[in-house]
Amino acid sequence: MSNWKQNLQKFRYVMDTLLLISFMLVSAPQATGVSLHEWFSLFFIVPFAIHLLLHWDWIQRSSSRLLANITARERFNIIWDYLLYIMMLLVFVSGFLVSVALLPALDISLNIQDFWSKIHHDSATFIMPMLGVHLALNLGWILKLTKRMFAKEAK
Amino acid sequence: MKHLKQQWKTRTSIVLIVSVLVSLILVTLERTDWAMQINLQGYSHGSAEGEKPNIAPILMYILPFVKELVLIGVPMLLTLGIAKLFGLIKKRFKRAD
Repeated sequence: MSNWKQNLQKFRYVMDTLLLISFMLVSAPQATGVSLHEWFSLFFIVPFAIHLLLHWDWIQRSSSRLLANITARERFNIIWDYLLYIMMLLVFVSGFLVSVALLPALDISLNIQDFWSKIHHDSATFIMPMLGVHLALNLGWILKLTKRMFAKEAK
Repeated sequence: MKHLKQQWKTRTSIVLIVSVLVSLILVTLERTDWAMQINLQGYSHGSAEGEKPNIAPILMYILPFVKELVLIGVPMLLTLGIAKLFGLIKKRFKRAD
């Protein structure tokens, strides 16, 4: 585990774990309070962007892979990841548009619409099962890396 | 960090530009009839403002995370089950050929 910063796969694993933990923290406004929820959400953009940057090769390849002769599972995985990205943006956008702590603190006032409240609540709930499917589709990689991360280094 | 530093300015700019563009498209949803209908009907969820739920305070902190684990974990297990089922069916068909 000591060389995780040098190894891309291990670096991805650590960053993805941090992303999952921060996602769970951000997604529990009932526990953290709305104010902290909104500030955490702002900082959540950082691990989310890191996740995209660390999987840049996959993003670049994905569009051409979609047109190639690939398995149904891989095609589903690519489309699902695109949908997850759009859903994440919808949660972000709707969240900022219903902000009651973050934007007022930055001296930005908005007329909060019931539509965005509903969209934020529904999309934030719906993104959780979507994430569950995303994790299941990549479970092979997660388990393989977990073993590699915690394997005792050869003496 | 060397993996992140690789062309990070170009890549971050692309991610940012695409995300802003998609977000702007999403914002236009508020101009749809669907949005107007919801705005007219009104929307609220959870307990009324200032009203505390009748549960132990410790559960107030635990239950949201339990809800997350269920909402993430159950679809994850279902997906794994379905993927395994598809794998088995595929194997059967291959054997039959």
